Amino acid sequence: MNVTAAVNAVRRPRDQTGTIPFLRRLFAQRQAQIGGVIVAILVLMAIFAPVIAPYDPTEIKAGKPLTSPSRAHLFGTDDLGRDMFSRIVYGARITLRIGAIIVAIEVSLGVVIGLLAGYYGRWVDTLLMRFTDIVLAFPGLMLALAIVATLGPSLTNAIIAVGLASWPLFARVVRGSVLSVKEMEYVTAGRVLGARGPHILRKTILPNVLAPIIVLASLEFPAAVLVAAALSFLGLGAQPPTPEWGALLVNGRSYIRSAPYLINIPGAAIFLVVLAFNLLGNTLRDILDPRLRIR
Amino acid sequence: MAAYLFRRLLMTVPVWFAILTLVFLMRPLVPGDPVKVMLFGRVTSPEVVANMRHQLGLDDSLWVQYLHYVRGVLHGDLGTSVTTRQPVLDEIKDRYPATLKLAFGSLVVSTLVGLIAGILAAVYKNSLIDTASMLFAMAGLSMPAFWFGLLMIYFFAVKLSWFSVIPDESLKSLILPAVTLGLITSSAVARLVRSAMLEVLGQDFIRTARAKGLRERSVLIQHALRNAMIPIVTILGLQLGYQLSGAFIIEAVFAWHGIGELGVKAFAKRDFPLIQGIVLVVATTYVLVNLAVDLLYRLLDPRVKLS
Repeated sequence: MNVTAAVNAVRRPRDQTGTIPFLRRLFAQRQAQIGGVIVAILVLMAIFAPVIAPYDPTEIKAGKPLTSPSRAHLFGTDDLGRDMFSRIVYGARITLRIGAIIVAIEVSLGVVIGLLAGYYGRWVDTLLMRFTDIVLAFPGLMLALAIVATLGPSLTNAIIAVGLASWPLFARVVRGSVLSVKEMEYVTAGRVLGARGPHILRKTILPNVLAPIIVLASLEFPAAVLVAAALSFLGLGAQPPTPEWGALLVNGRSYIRSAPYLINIPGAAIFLVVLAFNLLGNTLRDILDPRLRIR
Repeated sequence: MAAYLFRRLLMTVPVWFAILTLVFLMRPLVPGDPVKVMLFGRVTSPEVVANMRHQLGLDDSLWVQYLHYVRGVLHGDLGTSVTTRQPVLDEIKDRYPATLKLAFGSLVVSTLVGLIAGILAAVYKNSLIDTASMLFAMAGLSMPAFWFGLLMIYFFAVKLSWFSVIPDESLKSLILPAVTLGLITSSAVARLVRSAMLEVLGQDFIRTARAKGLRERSVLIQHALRNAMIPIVTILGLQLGYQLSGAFIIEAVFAWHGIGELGVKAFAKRDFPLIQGIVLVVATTYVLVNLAVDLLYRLLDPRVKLS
């Protein structure tokens, strides 16, 4: 083996850990391809909503009320004559925003609590983890419902409620990962060199527990979208005339006999988006969690 | 076993008190005046507001309110509903049998479907059956329960007229909500059964059982499934906990008169005494079911440590 070949042989594993090889590995999987295409369509819909949507989503009497899907109104019109296609397109924006904000709340709370509990141990760990256990003792949806009832029904409060009800999973997972990472020699080396706790947590431990956080976030995104839509369906989330998909479905419920498309189109939209993120999340988990990959 | 049971029950007590405290804190945490919130901005005389405040015990300090609340709960008094004027405990007692019926009905469906789909997927790994089972599981995990419920109503009640849209007390009216809830929860069961079975099927004792000449059915059921039971019992226990806690969405979609539907109404009307009662009962049920699952581990696998 000459010198170049030897260098290449050493370099290869490192090259495989870059972003592009990682994405190549991710999208080599059929599941991720299907999920990726649906998510890409959703993102494009959200970005170009004003261009794609033929009508204002809240415009009353854009067409005749309760018109079935036709060329003029691709997804038909609702009871107030609003164009359902435009409402679904604008709803994509809301859905993406809801999922992203909820996951951001969950990650922020869960990661901070998990890092502190795992790194400092002792009474900090006991206190934070017992609190986590208590939050976990409530069924998630019911806790979210209780928080919305306390704060008052609105989309913002629904987002806060789902975020506040779902962070314990992140705290548990991050704490578990920190417990193993903090025993590594490079963490001890950092401490010996005089680095303080917050610095070690931010610069040394956090980057090494990112993989489970990313996997969990990708799996929590669809769950968050589902719970937020459920809250809107129960009248505690998005309020009229916001074109949130769960709220569209509850509006269509009264016309289940005469205009079933009013429940089927938003229902199918929620299903497809949740399915797409689940497919992506599953593939991410298989790639980033070597234990599961072997199985 | 008795010592273990006692210790686990003892561990549940502080958790339950913490839940009770959080439930109590819901009302003081309401932004603004809870009485005005419950009146939904309706203009009423100051006397009515003062009277309501007195009835709810809001005149006292927070600490005194807490002590009254704890004492009341320990004596079985969860307060009085603001909207129905009925004792909260009676309201919950009226609704719980329907929730129990739905929970057990859907558990039967999810166990049967989940076990069959999961075992078939594991036995015929990487075959068409495996792919179909896992596609079904993925679809179930992604399905919004409220849409699936409405689809079931549309096809089986509106189109085919096999069931009534409005449920009654009959067993027949249980079928549609139980199947809907059972099918949705069976997807998680199927995935877990598949992975637990795959892990067990790769073990040496399965090869030994096959080498002894045992029938495949006996290998699968008596040897493999029995050893895969711990994770399966966990997920079934969690499902039962979820279903017993009032499947809020399914009960709301099917107008099923259980605790979930009562909860949705209470949350919408912001009837805080009723909300607090429901949250407390549901969380207590959830904790007790988890405790029961822990105890079941010991029965299934005596190697499980008491700690």
